[in-house]
Amino acid sequence: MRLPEQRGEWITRGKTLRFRFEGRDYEGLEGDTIASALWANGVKVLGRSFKYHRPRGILSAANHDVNAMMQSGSMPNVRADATLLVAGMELTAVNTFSSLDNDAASILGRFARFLPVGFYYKAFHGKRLFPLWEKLFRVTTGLGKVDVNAPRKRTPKRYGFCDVLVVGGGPSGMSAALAAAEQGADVVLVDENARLGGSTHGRTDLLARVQAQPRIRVLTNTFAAGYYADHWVPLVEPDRITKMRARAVIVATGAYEQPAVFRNNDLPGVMLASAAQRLIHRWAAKPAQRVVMLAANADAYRAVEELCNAGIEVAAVIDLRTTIPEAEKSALATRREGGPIPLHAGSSIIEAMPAADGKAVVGVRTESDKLAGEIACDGVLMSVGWAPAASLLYQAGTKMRYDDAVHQFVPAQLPPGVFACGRVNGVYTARAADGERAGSAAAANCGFGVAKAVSVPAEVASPTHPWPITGHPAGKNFLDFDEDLQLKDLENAIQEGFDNIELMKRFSTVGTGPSQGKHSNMNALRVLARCTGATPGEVGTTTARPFFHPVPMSHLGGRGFEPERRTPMHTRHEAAAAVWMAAGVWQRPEYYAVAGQSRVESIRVEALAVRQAVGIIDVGTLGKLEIRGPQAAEFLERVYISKYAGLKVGMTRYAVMCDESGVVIDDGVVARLANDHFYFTTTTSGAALIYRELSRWNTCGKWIAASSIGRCPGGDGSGRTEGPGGTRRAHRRRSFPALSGGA
Amino acid sequence: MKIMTCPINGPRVISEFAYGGEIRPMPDPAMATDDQWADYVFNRTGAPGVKKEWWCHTPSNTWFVAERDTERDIIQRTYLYAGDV
Repeated sequence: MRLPEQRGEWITRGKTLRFRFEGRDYEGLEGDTIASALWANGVKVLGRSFKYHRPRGILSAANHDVNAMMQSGSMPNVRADATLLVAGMELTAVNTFSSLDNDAASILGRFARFLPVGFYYKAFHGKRLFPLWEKLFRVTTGLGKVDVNAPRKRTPKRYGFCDVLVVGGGPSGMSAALAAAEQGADVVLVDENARLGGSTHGRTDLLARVQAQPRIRVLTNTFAAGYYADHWVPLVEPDRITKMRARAVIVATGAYEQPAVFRNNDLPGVMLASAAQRLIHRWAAKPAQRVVMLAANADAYRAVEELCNAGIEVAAVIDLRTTIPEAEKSALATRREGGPIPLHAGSSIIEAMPAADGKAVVGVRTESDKLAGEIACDGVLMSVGWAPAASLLYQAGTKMRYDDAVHQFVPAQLPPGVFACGRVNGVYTARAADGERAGSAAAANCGFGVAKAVSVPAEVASPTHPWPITGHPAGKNFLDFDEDLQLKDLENAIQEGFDNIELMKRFSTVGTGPSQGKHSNMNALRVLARCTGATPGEVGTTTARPFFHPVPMSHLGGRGFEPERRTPMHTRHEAAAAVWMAAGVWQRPEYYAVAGQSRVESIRVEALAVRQAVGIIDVGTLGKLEIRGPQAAEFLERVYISKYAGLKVGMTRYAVMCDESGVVIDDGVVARLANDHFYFTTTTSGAALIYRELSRWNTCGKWIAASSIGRCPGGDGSGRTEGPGGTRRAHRRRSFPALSGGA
Repeated sequence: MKIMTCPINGPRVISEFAYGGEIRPMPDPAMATDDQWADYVFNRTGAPGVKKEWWCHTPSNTWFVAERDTERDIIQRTYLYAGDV
């Protein structure tokens, strides 16, 4: 169902896109994501859950809805909530048996009791049943299907440079970018969404100011995939990757809204309040007709206002808190015909009621005694708290601490050149001011202006509830939607002794799904803290590794640039019908092909010719070095095992090189060109390394006053005659005098 | 990718550099006992901390000294060798 036009909406009305989903035809609008188009068509079951194959809908609409994953032609695991709709798309839900509507594997939900936490560890414990389990898992697990015949796709890579990189285009990120640019810094501002604005949904004057600022380059539809040493951040766009080197990085990545845990909190129609706001403001898709809001912060009441403005009925607000600030409550007073919206403070939803077919929510039951019955609704919105999107900060080596005032982890000590602002920094109210502070400091860090002192007031009330979790004897209160983990799964894991955050993660698989725990790690940590009597700060977090979102293989795959070196005799070999073989980067002739003669025969004939008469070997691939200086002979004697002081000018000598421990590392031939001038060869593969190592000894000057070591250009050809028919001699084509004598 | 500052060529990406090992005083090969020499050749200290190391900027073949905090993975200082080690 579409709402009337919303200010700043992302869709283009009138531009209809036709597509198919699960064999049925639908229409969306240009600017829709797959999920928003389906939701606007009244389709609320977008996928099936990983383990129990339960029907799932939209949770975040912010690229974390891993249950709404689709196969689009040969492209597997397309995220419906973040992928733009394209006309003609042919979509099916992944991880279903027969169809999304009627998934045969949903029966697994009834056997939940036989699928305990740590199931794999337990199932694979004995060897006897291993083959049976393996066969079963191969069929039932995994998500999309890989099309091995999919055409190879190449995406360009480019290098980027800037003074200040701002990650996140919400109010704090935009303020930071402006502050840094105004001080003279060259700024790049990236945001993973199609438009800047973050949670303001474009309702801010910062947007126009950013667009008017020439020193800010804006990259939308782009996410920072990770933080690597010295401010090296890969920026992933739909068809390109930019390796951005910044002099300072501002992390303004915001926070993920966190779900509450109650029975059936995964039914289609139960979603985060921010997801409903996105549906309304971006795509004008009606999240539901009549909703119940589960609240625990001021954001909930702002969302209620927006819902009412969009014409959505709010049946009730259930607040986990017992005391609610008056300023927040005032939003409820005039918002409904026939009286204010009922508010149940200090209560919680204990259960969402499913429709008969289990594919939608039809009501909620609450803790509060006054409401013995259900509240009927077709949507439940959760606004109970946030978790910082701090992956980049962790990767940069930031020390985090748990702040009890906002019930989240905030940066305690940032590495040099890394800054944080906004929600990820624990600032929810004065986000623009916090951004200005960080932007000014980052610019100053790069030598532009001085860091401005901006006062950022502390939060009055915590935007996050410390315990948004409600137990239920019948379970199905999901804590991790990727991995289908219920509250009791984690409690059991802790009871079985996996009572450390790292152990619990690995045993229970919490946070290891495609969204990497963006909506489950915080609640899991709270459960662990409560069960072990520790504080969240003591429990700590696991490390969020790159990448922030999955990156297509085509973005990562590069082209191999393999140099190929040829000796000056290459054309001569070619004329002699050489068959080539690679020796490192060098091309060397393996043998010369003769018509009617096999490879082995050719090699035999050649070997025989050298044995009996004469042959020339192309040794142009060898490393060729020169050393000059009064102590050149002494230098060589340090690295080669033979004596060279007595070698006569014009003579050569075989040379074996050892390292300090006496291990042979190279060999070659040393020729004396003058008293203070030697020419010597190294092996083909050792050429670069030996030159480098000799240079080091020369730099270190331990033994020798001054020598100069030079590398003869690889283009200089050399050949050696072999066999009884020729005098054993070495030739250097240009300047080398004929050398006589033995080695 | 990390950046290292070559004393001649300025800051460059770490892929242009080669590590040459920790700088350790070499005992006089003529005077050292077998044990002393074996200790010099085979034993390294793996303890983290600030170390003086040989590094080479390979495209220009420039050897220099880097003082690196291996515990925090920070390059503190780079300079040309002046015979003081």
